Amino acid sequence: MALVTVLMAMLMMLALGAGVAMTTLTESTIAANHRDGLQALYAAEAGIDLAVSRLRSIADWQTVVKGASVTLLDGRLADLLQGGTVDSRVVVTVTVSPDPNGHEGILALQSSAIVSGGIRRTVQMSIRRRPATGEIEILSWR
Amino acid sequence: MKGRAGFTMVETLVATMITVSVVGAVLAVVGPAQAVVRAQGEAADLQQRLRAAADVLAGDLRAAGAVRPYRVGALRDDGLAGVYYRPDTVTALGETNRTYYLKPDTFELMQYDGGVSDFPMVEHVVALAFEYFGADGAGRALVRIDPGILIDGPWSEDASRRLVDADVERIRDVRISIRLEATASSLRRLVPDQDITFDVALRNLAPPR
Repeated sequence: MALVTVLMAMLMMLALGAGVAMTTLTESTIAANHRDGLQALYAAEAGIDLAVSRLRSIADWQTVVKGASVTLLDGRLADLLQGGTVDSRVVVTVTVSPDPNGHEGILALQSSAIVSGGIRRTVQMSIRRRPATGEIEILSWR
Repeated sequence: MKGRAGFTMVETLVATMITVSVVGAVLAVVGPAQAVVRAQGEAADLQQRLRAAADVLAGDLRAAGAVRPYRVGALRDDGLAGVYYRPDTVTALGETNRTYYLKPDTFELMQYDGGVSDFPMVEHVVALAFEYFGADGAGRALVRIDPGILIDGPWSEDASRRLVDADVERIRDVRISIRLEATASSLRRLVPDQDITFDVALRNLAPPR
């Protein structure tokens, strides 16, 4: 009798414990995916910012694109940034294309980042140079 | 009587008492454990709703072409009603407009698309607040824009021919505060309210570099 009671009680506790463990695991997986998504988004933005800073030092953008899409940056973000505390497993690819509407002074940038979990985020930006100051202006970001 | 098989009254009573106390002890442990299991699911749901709200708001504001601290659209437009600021409402203008606001009677975070679709996105939202930041006069540092100066003019007309305060066009960053409560009122003791405050910089309005 005592054995049966104890076994029943243990079974019940085990079921409850398994339930708690399962929700906890699911929850932490969801949280990890969310964190990876954010990490990928910010990495993609870092890639596009790096590309913009490289383009700033190039006087004539047409020498970069020459009428076609060019991969400007490709590799691990930690290598591209040369230091800092960047996750070494984040890979970023930035491509630069001429403006789809044919405006000469406008470039379309696309940056994709993949993090270790395989999650990818992409940021697109179109930029132009202000004629007066030479500063780079963001025309659209999405 | 003597020699007949069976239990005496005392034996039966003692056995009953022992059984009752053992079962009672087991139930006393299992009861709260069951509440904890339900609370676990509730807490996970609360966090998921918080993530969903934060993600959608941040995503739309990040890519917005401009923001308005009030409702914009075909139905119950605030501008037409002369309202130019609500602390719990924000509109992200872009390819499609999105207005987010708190429905106070049902505690729902509503998403309005500027047309006819106005639906609840997250439930059991206790508080929702937006604060706005803009570039200061001299440098590129962000300073908080007091709600009072968002409605004091000077006014101009925007692309969609609505009146807009000059200080609203200075907005470069939005601070969002969301507070959620557990769905089941009986579990709010175990699952306390959670809040989150985060800033979103408007990427389309970033200063030139």
